Amino acid sequence: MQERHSHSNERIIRDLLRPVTQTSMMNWVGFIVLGALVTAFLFVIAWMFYWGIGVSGLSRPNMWGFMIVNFVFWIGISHAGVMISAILRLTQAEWRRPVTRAAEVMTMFSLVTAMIFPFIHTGRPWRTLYWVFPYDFWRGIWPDVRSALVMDPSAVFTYLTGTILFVYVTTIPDFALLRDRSTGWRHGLYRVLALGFKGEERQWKIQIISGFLLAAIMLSIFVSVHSIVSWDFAFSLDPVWHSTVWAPYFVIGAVHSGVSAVVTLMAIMRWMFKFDDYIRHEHFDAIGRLLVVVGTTWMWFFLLDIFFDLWRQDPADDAIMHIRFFEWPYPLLLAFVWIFGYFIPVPIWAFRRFRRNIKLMFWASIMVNIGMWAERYWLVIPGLQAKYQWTFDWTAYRPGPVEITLVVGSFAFVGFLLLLFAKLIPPVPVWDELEGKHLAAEIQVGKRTVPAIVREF
Amino acid sequence: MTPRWGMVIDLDRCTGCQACVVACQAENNVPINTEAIYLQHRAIQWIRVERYWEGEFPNIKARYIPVPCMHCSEAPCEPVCPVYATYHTPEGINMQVYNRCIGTRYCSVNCHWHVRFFNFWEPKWPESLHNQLNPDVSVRSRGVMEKCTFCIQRINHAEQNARLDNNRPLRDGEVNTACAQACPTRAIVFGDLNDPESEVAKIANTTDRGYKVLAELGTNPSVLYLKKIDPDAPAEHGAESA
Amino acid sequence: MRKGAMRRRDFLKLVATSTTGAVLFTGCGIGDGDPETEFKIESPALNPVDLVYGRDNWYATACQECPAGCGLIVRVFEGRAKKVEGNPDFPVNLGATCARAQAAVQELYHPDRIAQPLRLSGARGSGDYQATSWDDALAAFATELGGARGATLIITPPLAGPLGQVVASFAEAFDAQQVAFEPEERVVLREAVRRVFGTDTLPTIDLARAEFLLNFSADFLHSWISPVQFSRAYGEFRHGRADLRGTYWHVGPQMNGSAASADRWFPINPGTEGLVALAMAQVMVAEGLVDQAAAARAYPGITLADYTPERVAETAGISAEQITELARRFAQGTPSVAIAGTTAAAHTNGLFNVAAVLALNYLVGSVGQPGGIILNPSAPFGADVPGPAAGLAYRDWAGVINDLNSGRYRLVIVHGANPVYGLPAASGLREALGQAGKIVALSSFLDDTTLQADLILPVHTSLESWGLQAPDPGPGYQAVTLQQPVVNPFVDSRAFADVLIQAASAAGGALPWESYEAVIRAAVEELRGLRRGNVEAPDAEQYFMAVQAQGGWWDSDATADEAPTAPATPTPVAEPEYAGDPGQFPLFLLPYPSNALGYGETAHLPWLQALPDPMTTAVWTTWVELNPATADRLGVETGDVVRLVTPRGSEEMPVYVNPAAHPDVAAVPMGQGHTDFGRYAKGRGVNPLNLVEPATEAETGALAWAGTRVRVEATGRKVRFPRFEGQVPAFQLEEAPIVQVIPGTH
Ligand SMILES: Nc1nc2c(c(=O)[nH]1)N[C@H]1C(S)=C(S)[C@@H](COP(=O)(O)OP(=O)(O)OC[C@H]3O[C@@H](n4cnc5c(=O)[nH]c(N)nc54)[C@H](O)[C@@H]3O)O[C@H]1N2
Ligand code: SF4
Ligand code: SF4
Ligand code: SF4
Ligand code: SF4
Ligand code: SF4
Repeated sequence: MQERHSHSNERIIRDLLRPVTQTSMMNWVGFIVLGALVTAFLFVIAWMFYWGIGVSGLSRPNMWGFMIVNFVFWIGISHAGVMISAILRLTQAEWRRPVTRAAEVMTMFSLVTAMIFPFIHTGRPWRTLYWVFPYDFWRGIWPDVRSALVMDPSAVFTYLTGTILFVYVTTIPDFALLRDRSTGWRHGLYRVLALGFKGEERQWKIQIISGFLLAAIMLSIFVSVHSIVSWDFAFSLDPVWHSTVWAPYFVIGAVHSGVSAVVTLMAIMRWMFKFDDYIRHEHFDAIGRLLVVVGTTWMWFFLLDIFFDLWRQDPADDAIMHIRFFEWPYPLLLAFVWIFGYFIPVPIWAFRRFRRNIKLMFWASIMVNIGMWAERYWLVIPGLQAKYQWTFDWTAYRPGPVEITLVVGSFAFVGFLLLLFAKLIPPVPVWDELEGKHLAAEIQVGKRTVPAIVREF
Repeated sequence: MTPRWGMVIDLDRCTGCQACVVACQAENNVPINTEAIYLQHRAIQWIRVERYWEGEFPNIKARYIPVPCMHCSEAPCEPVCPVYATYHTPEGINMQVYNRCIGTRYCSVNCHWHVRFFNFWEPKWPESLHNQLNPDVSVRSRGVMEKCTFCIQRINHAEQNARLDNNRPLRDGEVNTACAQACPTRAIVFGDLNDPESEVAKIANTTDRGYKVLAELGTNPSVLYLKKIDPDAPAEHGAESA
Repeated sequence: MRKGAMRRRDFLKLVATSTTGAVLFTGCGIGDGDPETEFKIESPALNPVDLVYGRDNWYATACQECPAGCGLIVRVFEGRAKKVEGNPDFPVNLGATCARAQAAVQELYHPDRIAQPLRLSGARGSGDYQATSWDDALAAFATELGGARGATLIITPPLAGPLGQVVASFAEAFDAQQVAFEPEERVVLREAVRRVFGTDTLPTIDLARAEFLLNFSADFLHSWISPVQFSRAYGEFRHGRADLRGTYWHVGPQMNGSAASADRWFPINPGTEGLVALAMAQVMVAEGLVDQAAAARAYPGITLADYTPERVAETAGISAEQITELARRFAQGTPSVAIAGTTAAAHTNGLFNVAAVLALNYLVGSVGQPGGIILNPSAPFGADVPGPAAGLAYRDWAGVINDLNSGRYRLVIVHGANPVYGLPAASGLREALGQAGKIVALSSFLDDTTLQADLILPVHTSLESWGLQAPDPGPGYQAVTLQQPVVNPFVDSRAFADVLIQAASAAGGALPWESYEAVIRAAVEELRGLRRGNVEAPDAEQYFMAVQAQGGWWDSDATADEAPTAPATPTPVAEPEYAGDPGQFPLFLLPYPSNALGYGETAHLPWLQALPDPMTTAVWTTWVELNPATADRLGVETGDVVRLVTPRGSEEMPVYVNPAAHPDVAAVPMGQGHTDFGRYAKGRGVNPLNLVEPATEAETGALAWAGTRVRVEATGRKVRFPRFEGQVPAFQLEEAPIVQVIPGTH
């Protein structure tokens, strides 16, 4: 691995802690711009609380719209976390090291953002407590576990809990590091968060085992979360939604968009925090190779779903497929899905030269997520506007300004939280990076070259 | 025997006059559908009359179909509600519990007869019109789903009266829904499908014109439509029965 | 390990116990797998509809929302009228109602109801009024009345029965002129009935026993004379008999709400109904399907042979074969019945149209026969009680307007009629009213005519009033509805007749009654004197109460005298004439009464404004219906604003592309375009009468409101068009129809 730097431990620590210790100009600009958008986002939510769902563009029969699409989108993004930290950790993919934390933290924030949507999307959000917390046992009032809307928050909250734990456990050594290198209120904070971590062998062992265990547990979440989200649709009898393929299809779509979002994030971190030595071309190369596989699998499911819808030859499905293919704006969205979601980025990733071009990778990953947002819209919305043969009720959905602000605001919200987070916790795990360095060190034993350190498990 | 409430709607009698629509609005405190509400496609009509075109001028037909809730025996709207705000009564009615509803609109997404109506806005009546509101029916706040209840308040009244009267069973015709009561062509007949002597059961059991809309979804609706008769319809069209 | 900390073993134990606990818990029947009991949700489910304790009363009364006079029962809870239903015993409607009757409670509790007497404080028509007391208002009214003997004009709807008696007596006491206002084509219809059947009462149709109905343009199921009565019968006509389904064919220029229910529709040019009827008669005679002598008697003075289908076809806009088919089918029906109305009567040849169609019934012998036209007897009232009368024809309004302009009237009294809205603007009535000395309106709402008044006296709405009237048309025998106040007056209003009685007495021309209720009681007492009918009681008070409880009086044996065998008076042939040059104004303008708003008299009620039009599903607005081909030619689609230009003026409104519209017809619903009439009607839509050239029906002088030609011009503007349907037009998916159809046999 010729690209690997040979910085001293101290240099690595200093570099990686820089985002926490220093605030660059770019950082400030980011805070202000994103902060303004977040303010608009919060204002619009308050507006909708005050006046009700009437301020949206929803109608009968288009009872779900932008907010649900955006919910699915952010849940999708969150899948980067499991993919990178659970799967790649368990498969011991070395290149994962610099991106695990960013992926996990993004997962955390995109989950929170995603959950905002079904919540504010209800008619009486203040009553949603009934929903998942059956506080009222004695009157026998329970949530209905048959409803996907009960399974769905359960799955998402489980994922969120897992993610928070995971982020926390994997940050403990860094907290300890920060504790030792900070003063004032920060020192106090990090002292509490570090849980007395001193780098003893036993502590390391517990930390590493819990990391692995959490990763293993999260693996089941990897399959479940987006499957369950897809059931919000697939459990219904709505034509085209009512499809068994949606669960795996949503999962792979989620990975496609989530991992692409990690690429975006990697590029931004490299550029913003000058992490050129840590987030290297080889990382983009590796993730690009992964994306070729994921993207192609996703495209296969995408085509499969279309094929299933057409194969049934059911007039109800046909009506919606007609809208999807021929009615404004769906053909445009479909073009986005194909061109941005697959046909531009994936062929690019086939070439090592392009995989190692960070600018290209950045824009390709942005494209994927434009395509994937369009894909969710293309999948979800037309399903309601021409339900069965009631042509009398068929009505197109047009999002209102409130919903558009919410969608734009959600991106700003996630960005804002990420920026804020980078001020508190190093965006690249310092200990992981150091560990990687040590694991990579090799020594000569006799005729063979062997790793200097061997893992116990 | 517990009743199973049901309805027969004869499309060959219905003239699209919509007396049923206003009668239902009057009985059930349905908010006034303003022009803005129509422009937003959010009008609330627990029973609505749809008009379909068929053919081309001059051989064109307008077909009417009044659509209340089908009170599906296997109602797809019910299991999707996370909070049990909609459920099935032992008498076969798909009920809506406004207090519990949090307004996810999932039930509406999964009702393929489009008969679940969401209160996008707080319903408002000018003060003086409050005098007209039916005291037996709660006014729904914004953010909750509402729908046809087969005029449950009328059924409750009648059942209570029957209980007070030596606990006798209900007689056919003792309960009628507001829509059926108003209908000038008697296109709508309401009653207990479990009572073989009731008018609704007699029609349902003897007609050769009966069909259920979207019967193929297997939800077993409690509303039976009687097919329209058209002497000029080509024999193959509409000949297939449900 | 520190003391007190939980050891692993303890933890496992705890987990085990709680799991066992849960299993036991479940085993004890908390969860038995049946969601009904497992989740215990019954109680809250009944909650939203828990019964409220209070006193519920159901009072029988009569509907006043249109002149059909259906019987109602009204639910009154704790002094408030809650729900209107049909009176199941009353023979006209047998328990059913139309949409309008349901909205009567909104009239009662309307937020813009006039709540106390008002005196004009600004210029006439400005709508600036000051509240005043009843004492002052009545005194002012009496003063005007006393000073305007011989110079008073009273405008009301046609009033029959005891109310007519009070008003006539009032008019006599003050030497006032009384004019009645009603939709103009009713004037024509009444004259046609008088000529063809020789009666002043309108006949009913025995649809329940008919086999074939041929309808020329009448919207008899939605807005024509007695829609609920006809709809009840229509239901029976279709499926009341096990072995027979009645067949209904419709001939007319528009697929109106009734035509939509027909088995076949024959789109003809507007105003050619009479010619088609004559051609049918010609075919029936020529083919020997009917008795030639009977035909000659049915059409006295007309040479039927001149009206061959071939001759009529071009004018009528349908083929000769279709006319022949109509004739054969009509002759074949056992029995057949033919009716005509609505736009058929609103042409320069309206009388001929209606009379020629009604005369068809003589050819097939269905006048006075089961399944045919059933004549109604006169009302069972005393000789001094006025019977049904027609409103003033437009031609005669011109006289009234002249008199107004010449300053003949020092006082104009208006009640229950809105001629400023209902007569075309071209009549100049609004301006002429400006010449009247004083205008007193006895009204519940500030409608277009009331807005011209100097003094407004708020009167009761129907649910607060007494009344007694014979429905016209009746059910085929004598019937009377008793209208009673079901609630106390909601505002400080009084009964119209009571105000007249009080004002007359104050002005020194006391009428012979002390109150309107006394008039009603006296009339009911006279009914008791007949010693027949549905009610029996030992004394006057109990008799009155019984009639109140029943909602009226009827005697199914009191049918009309023997039906005539030929028309009483001949009606000469007349071809329709249209105002406007066909080159310049290529389309026929066809205004039509709306299902919910009628001729505009219910435009103030929000439920009716919000009720989708049966054909277009449009709400809260005025629109013009164009055939898709016509719209294509003009380059417009639904929601595009167009300008309708007639020789009389121009108005703008959005287009609704109606696939069932006649390509040569631009149809516009009536009912909107009020200058006032409460928040729900004010400034909404267009009154199509503003476009109508005031030509009159040749013989009766009634306004021929369907006889104007029009040009439609695109304006390039667009509006969002309020309607109920989602996508336009809603055609069924052929492979999965929502409305399933069984092909029938002829
Ligand atoms: N005669 C008389 N009348 C009174 C009063 C009085 O003192 N005397 N007090 C007045 C006062 S102060 C009040 S607050 C009212 C109370 O009047 P209500 O509000 O009618 O109170 P309850 O009858 O206690 O409960 C109403 C229903 O709610 C159901 N319920 C319980 N829990 C739930 C739930 O979680 N969800 C749903 N949907 N339903 C649930 C119960 O089963 C019951 O059927 O009565 C008023 N009326
Ligand atoms: S028609 Fe719709 S609302 Fe009614 S029971 Fe069936 S699914 Fe539920
Ligand atoms: S809208 Fe109300 S009734 Fe419908 S699923 Fe949501 S909570 Fe249940
Ligand atoms: S049954 Fe009652 S609630 Fe249902 S549509 Fe008819 S009137 Fe409305
Ligand atoms: S009231 Fe009866 S006839 Fe009129 S639209 Fe309703 S079902 Fe049809
Ligand atoms: S037809 Fe006329 S009288 Fe009869 S219910 Fe309707 S509005 Fe009232």
